[in-house]
Amino acid sequence: MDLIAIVLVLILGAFLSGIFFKIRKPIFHGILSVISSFLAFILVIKTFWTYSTKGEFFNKISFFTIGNYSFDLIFKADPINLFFALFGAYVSVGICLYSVKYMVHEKEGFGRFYFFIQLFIASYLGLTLSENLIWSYVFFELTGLCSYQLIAFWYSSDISSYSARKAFLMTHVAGYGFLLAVIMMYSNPENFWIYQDFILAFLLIAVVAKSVQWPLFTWIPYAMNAPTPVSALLHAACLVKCGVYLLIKFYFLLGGYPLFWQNVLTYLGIGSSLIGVLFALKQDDIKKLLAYHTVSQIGYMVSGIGIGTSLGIAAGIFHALNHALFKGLLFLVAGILQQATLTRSLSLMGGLSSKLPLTTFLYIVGAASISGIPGFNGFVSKWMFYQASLQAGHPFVSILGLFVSTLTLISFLKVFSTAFLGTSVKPYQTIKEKHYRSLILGAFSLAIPCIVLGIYPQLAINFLVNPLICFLDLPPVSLKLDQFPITLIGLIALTFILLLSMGYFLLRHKSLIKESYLFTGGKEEAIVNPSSEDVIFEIKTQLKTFYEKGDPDHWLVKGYNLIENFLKRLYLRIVCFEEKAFIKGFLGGTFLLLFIFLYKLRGLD
Amino acid sequence: MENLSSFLTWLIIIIGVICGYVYFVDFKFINLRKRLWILLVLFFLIVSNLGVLNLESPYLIVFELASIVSFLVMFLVLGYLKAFKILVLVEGIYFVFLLLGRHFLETTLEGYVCLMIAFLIKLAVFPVFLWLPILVRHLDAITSALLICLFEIVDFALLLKVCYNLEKFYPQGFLEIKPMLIMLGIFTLFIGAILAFFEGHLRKLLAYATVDDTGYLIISLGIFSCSSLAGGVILWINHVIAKFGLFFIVYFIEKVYKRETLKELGGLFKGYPDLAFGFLISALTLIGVPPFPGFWGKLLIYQEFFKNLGLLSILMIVGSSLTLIYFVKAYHQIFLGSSIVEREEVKNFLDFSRLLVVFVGIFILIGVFITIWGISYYFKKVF
Repeated sequence: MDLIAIVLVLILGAFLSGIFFKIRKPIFHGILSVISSFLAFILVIKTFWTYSTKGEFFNKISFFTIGNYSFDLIFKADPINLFFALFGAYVSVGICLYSVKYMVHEKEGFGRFYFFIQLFIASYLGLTLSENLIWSYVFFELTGLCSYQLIAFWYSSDISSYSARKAFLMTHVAGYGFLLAVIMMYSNPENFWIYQDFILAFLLIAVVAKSVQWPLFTWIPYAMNAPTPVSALLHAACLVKCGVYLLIKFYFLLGGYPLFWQNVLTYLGIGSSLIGVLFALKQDDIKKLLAYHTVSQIGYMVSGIGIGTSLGIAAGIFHALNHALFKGLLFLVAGILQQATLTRSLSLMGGLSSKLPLTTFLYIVGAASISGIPGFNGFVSKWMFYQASLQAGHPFVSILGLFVSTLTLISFLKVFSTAFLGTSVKPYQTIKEKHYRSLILGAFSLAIPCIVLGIYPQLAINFLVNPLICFLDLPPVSLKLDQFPITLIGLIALTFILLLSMGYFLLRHKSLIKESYLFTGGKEEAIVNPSSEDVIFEIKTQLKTFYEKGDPDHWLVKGYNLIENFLKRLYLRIVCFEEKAFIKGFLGGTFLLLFIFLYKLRGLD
Repeated sequence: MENLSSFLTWLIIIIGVICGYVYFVDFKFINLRKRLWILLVLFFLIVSNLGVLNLESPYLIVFELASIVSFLVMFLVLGYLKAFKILVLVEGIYFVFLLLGRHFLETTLEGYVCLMIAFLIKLAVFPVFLWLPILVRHLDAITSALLICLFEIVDFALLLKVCYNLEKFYPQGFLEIKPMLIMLGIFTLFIGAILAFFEGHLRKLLAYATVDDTGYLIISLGIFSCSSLAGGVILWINHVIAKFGLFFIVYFIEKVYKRETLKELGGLFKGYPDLAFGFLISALTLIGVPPFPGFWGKLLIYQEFFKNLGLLSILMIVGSSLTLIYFVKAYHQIFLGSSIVEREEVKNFLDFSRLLVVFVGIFILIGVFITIWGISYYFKKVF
């Protein structure tokens, strides 16, 4: 019953937080969440161990079956399920650990917060482990429901309320696509291929909204108006991976995707990737910037799965794992910056590397990973992606992927230069990193694997990715050292970065750079750090039309308003009728009913 | 049905007792004598409805008449004259069809059709749905809750009986009626959802939401399979309980803030998280968000709908999306965001009201397990 226990332990933790909501000590709820998520992680590892020694196994709770529809809750240990469960559980522990200290600053709502955080992790793990698609849908929507409640954590803020509503409406309405796909699959399990195109079309709607792909990604920047652990756990590590998980799951269930749908996924993914990074470039709010990078990075995963070869899918899922680590890490760094500076605006930050050196180090690890710098995990999965797209005959996708990666690097250099470099701004001169020790500890738990998997990716490829690839009936991918000396490249790159950093700090501390003194007439010289606006001014000017017209939110809102106006006209007519001619309408309606019934039944005894 | 009727009997009694308590304790704007009158009338109302629900007798019409008269007297005592006039019209036509169906045409196909039309009128189905929001507009929230819940319980149960009889005695005729019921259900669902979407008045919004939910119930009858009926019954009970809780929340808001429209409200979560909890849970189950009971009901209906009408099931999904939008919009407008109303003194009764709403919320949560167990039990018994 290990598989069921994984979910149950978190649900128990959630209920304890819910029952004891009156305890207004964040430590109590925080530690409860750390314990439950840690236990769940241990159980996932134990399950993984059992799987690797004994093979696939099930845990089942029987309910009922109606025709082709079975409602039994079945959890299954197979490579797809365990892959997604494993990294989700690991990242959850790091983020729960981080949240213990982070939430101390809040005044209320600890029980509510930790109830939904734990319920979210349980739902995510339930989704990834569930074999029955009906229950997968239940867990899929539960993740959305928890996300909705967590985004609305600061309920009295209008922007939080708006953001939560937007996220929930978009993901839930699109989620009906998944439900329809499930109903179609189960309505005729032996001949479901009749509906294959419909199944994939509906599934794609759900995936696009949940995994923030074009054009339904517009809820995610708003979702950043939530506490940082929520952004890190839901909108970087787990929630947005639900769609990717479904793509892999349906790939397995349908025995691969038809060529048309492969191409749709490949180009939709890479297109979303480009659009995401372009929007990220112009952001001043650090969390929104990271949110748009989520759109961009998930594009690689979707595109990789769309390519459909073993290397493409391996690139996609390995990037999913990497993304959970480096994006989670970057969000945690953003949370530290926000707590230290009390702002999310990059323009207001500056010179933080001297005050927060460990945070700076963590940021560099995260930024290098996401930008695909050799020596870090993002490089390996991106390299696999470029190679897969070239091999599959999509050179354009490969070029675009590289281009997006370059833009990602520029975007993170912008953050680095504006927030961390430059002269320390006055209000931030009192910042002391020791206040954020436990936050940094949580972040380190995500940073270490970024480096380890960057130098020795075989660890993940051999134990996690290849079993999944073989499970999909595809040949395993090989990253042999003699073919592709990734460890060597990684070590060289890391040594280079280390030397560069050491040089920077040594020179800085020994004041070897002499600054010429400028006479200011006795007045204090204003500190002018380059702002994010300065860095990307040119891009914003050049892409002005794109930013104005290319925002899908603009078109979605326009479309929504159009439908709303049409329906409003109908509403106004009926309301007018309601007031002026109620009796006539009621009698008319009754006779209409009578007439229809009698007309239908004419000639019958 | 036998198992269900004892549950429904208890449900009616509980609704009656709760409403009676509120009328007696909280309706201080009318004198004690009138309040005692209301209790007496309420007693007759509950007894007559229980009779209608449970008895199989040629004198059933007397109980039905007693139920109509009790409601009308109650409206008069409470001083709701406009509502009284509307109810006279609705109940008058209802009674004519009932009389035709029960006594003049008896067990003929036409007789069953008359009964069906009578119950469809009371369930506020398209195109005879407008009386419900207008009526509710002129009532208080407690009387609205009582009226809607009793009508939904009793008349849907009677409609279900009529459908069973039609299936049994006139299968060919029922085959012709089924697509019409599905069509009526879809229209009802859409019209209810669209009107609720734009409605700003709290009680009217809930009335339109009732019309919307009735659409699903009628569709389940139109499909008339084991699964669809199981789904319909889950939705039916779920709807009655959740709507009762929602009307209590509205009553509380109207009582404390003296405001009846959405735009006049905002930020109540801070003062009343319990009400927000109750509202959210009730709304989520009515929308059909998993894992709440409403979801399981809707799922069974979606599956059967797809089996019978294929891709037309998208229509139901669109309807559910509209339900989602208007309930979420209402929840955010009332409870979240910055507060635009000041919190006022809470009186004793209102604590009871809040307690009840929380209880409804918890009951729905527990209902998740009861529903899954219930379906499980039902299907093991059927197959």
